Amino acid sequence: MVWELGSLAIGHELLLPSPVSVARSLARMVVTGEFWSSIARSMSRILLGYAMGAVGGIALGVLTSRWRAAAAFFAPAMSAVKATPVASFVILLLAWIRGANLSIAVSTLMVLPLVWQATHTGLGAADPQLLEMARAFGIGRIKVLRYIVLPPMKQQVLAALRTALGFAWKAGVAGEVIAVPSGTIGMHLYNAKVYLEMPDMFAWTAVIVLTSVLLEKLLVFLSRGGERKK
Amino acid sequence: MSIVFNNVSFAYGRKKIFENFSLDIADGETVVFTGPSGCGKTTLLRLASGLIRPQHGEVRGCPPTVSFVFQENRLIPTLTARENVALVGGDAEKILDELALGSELDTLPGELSGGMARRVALARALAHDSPLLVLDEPFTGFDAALVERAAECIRRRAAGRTVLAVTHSPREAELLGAREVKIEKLERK
Repeated sequence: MVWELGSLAIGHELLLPSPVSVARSLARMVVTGEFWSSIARSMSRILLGYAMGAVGGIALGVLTSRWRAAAAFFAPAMSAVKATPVASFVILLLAWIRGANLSIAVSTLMVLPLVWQATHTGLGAADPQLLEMARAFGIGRIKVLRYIVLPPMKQQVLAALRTALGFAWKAGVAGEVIAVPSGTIGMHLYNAKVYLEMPDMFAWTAVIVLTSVLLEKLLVFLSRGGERKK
Repeated sequence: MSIVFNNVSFAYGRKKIFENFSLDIADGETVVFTGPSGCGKTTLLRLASGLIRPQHGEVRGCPPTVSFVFQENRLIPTLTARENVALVGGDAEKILDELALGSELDTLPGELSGGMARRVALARALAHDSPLLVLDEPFTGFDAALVERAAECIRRRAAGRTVLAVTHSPREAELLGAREVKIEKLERK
C-alpha cells in the first residue's frame, strides 16, 4: 500500500515502479524457461560455493581447535577474509577466475570464516565437568565426541550455517552482477539496470529475497529433520 | 585395589590443601572421609582417582578408570536416565529400578528432581565396573528411607570393591559400613 502510494506520488516508473508493474514483470518472467534456468544456474553455483565453504570451515575449525599453531596461522587470515568487502573480493578474484565460477569462489569465501569460527569455538565449548567425568569412567573417544563435544558445537555451527546461507546468496549474486556471467540472476539484474527496466530490476530483487528466505527455511527444516532422526 | 597416599602434598595455587599426607586404604575397604568444609575431602577423592596429581609425594594404586559420583551430578543433558547409565556399561534398568527410578528410565536429566538426578548419577557409578568406587556426598537430596535403600544398594553392588566416600553424616558412614577417616587430624596446613 505504502509502495503503491509512493509510486503514485512520484509518478515515474523509472524512479519507483508500482507493485502492479513489478508483479506484471514477474508474471511475464516466470513463464519463460530462461527465468528458471537462470535461477538454477545461479543457485547451483552459489550452493556449491556454500557447501565448499561449509565443509572447508568445519575441517579448518577442527584443525585449529586441535593445534594451536594452526589456529595462530589461520585466525588472522579468517579475520581478514571476514573484514574484506564483497566488491573488493569480486574485483580481485576477477583477475584469476572466469566469470561463471566467480560466484562459487565468492560464496565460499563468505561462508568459510563464519563456519570456521563457529566450529573452532564450538569444539572448545564442551563442558569440562562432563569431559572429566568421561575421563574418570574411561568413556571412549567416539562416545565423548558424540555425546559431549558435538552437541554444543552443533548448535553454533547450525546457527552459523543459517547466517552464512543468506550471506553466500547475496554475495554470490553481487559477484554475478559485477562479473556478468551469462544466463544468471546477476546478469539479468545487470541488464535491467543498464536498460533501465526498473520493474524487471525490482522483480529480480524480489526473486533474490524470496529465494534466500526459501533456502533458509529449507535449511532449518533439514536441520530439524536431522535432530528428529537422532 | 589398595590405595596408598605417601607423603602427599597438594595446593591450589598458594593455598595448601595437604602437606605430607599419608594414608593406606586396603583392597576392598570402604573408607569415609569426614571433616569441615574446605578441608580437602573432595581433593582427596580426586587424588585417589588419578584425576589430579600431587605436587609432592605419590598416590599409588589409582586404577585406569574410576566409578565416580561427583559432587555435581554431571549427567549428559541430551541422554535419558537409562542412556546416561548405559553409557558406562552394566544393567542400567535394573540398577535404576533398585534406586526407585524404574518409572523415570526415559526421562532427561533436566526433567528430573535434584534427588532423582542424584540417584541417576549414583546408578551410573554402580553400573560401571571399576575396582574403585568414589562417592562424593552421594546422598544429597535423599530422604532417610532413600538413604537406607541407596546405602544397601551400594553395599551389595560394591562388595569386593574399594569404596571411598565423603559424607557429613555419621549415620550415612555407618550405613555404608565404612572406616571413618577424619581429615582434620591427618592434614597439616
